[in-house]
This record gives sequence, C-alpha cells and structure tokens, in this order.
Amino acid sequence: MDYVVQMGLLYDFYGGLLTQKQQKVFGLYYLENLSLAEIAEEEGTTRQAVHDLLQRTEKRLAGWESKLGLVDRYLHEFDAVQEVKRAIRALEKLLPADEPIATAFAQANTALTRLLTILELDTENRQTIIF
Amino acid sequence: MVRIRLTRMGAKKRPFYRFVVADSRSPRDGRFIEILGHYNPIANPTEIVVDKEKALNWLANGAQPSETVKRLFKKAGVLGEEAVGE
Repeated sequence: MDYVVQMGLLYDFYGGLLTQKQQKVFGLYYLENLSLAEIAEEEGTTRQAVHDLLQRTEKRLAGWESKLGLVDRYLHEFDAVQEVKRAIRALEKLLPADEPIATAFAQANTALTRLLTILELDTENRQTIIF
Repeated sequence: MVRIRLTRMGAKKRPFYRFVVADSRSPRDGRFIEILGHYNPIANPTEIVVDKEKALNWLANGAQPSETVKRLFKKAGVLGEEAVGE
C-alpha cells in the first residue's frame, strides 16, 4: 500500500491522540499534500522544524499501531469482507428460484449488511459519503 | 506557482483521493483550479484515473506536481520514467 495512504489510515485511527499542532501539520502534509516549504510558511516556522515534527508524529503513530494494530486489523477485515461479498453474489446466481431459498438468502444478505455497518466497511455507499 | 496535489476526500477509514490543480499561494482554503482525476487505493485492483491530456497540458505550462503525484502519474502511465521537473 502506498505510504501516503498508510499514513492517512493511521491518522484516521489514531489522529485524535495527537496534539492539535501535530494533527494540523500531519494533515497538511499527508491529507492535503502540501510541501514542507509550504507548511513552514503557513506555520511561520522552518522547513526543518516541519520535517522534525512530521518524523516525531509518524513515530508516535507507528508506535500506537505496533501496540494496537487497528489499521492492520481493519485492512484484513476489509479483505475478508470483500471475499464474503463476492461469494454471496456468486451464490445468488446459482440458487434456484424457490421461495424458501430466496427468503433464507435475503436473511443472510441482511445479516451481512448489518455486519458491514458494524465494521464500518460498507464501501458500496462510498460515493454518497464522499460527494 | 501552480501545483498538482493529491488531496484526500471524504470520510474516515475510506481512503479516496483527487488529483487537483491548485495555486500554492492559497493552500489552505481548499480552492482548486481543476480536478484531473482520482485515486482509489482500496479498490481491487487499485484505481488511478487521470485525464492525461489535461494533466500533460498543465505540466507543460509549468504546474509542479508533488512527489506523490509524480509517483502516481508514473504508475498510471501519464508520466514517463523521465520525470518532469527533476
């Protein structure tokens, strides 16, 4: 996975534990993709200071991830869920048109949807969330 | 200076990015001049969509891509291995 994406995910999970300044600078660099020089100007500090702050922040985030592993776990869940979804869709096509089967299948689908919501993994609705 | 950046959109835990052209003098207000495409890193396979013609046009007119944008543009075949601005 791209480093920038990985940093973004770490920020999603642990960003709230950072100081406000760390959050701001990290966000400008990894979410808004500003350069070190641009951030330095924005913050009225030096490029080197921004660089050091980012390094320290990344280290903190990596430290929490190594202890808690939330991002790693999330990505594994995400993969596993995609697999289940593919399997359910494939199964749907194979099922005979029979009412008890259709009902049982609908129940399984509802259960999966509920699980996805709990896991916050429902990517089907991504477009509506983003735009 | 005009920059090409990768800006992250939307909800937490849903990495999704846009390639935008923006003025470096107004980095924070989120204004951009044009959207060049998007990058969806958790799609399988990873999805990078760029309007190549627009992108090359901006690059030819001196827009500076960030390192991340450069890397992804190369991956998407918008830029050759000989990177612009290096």
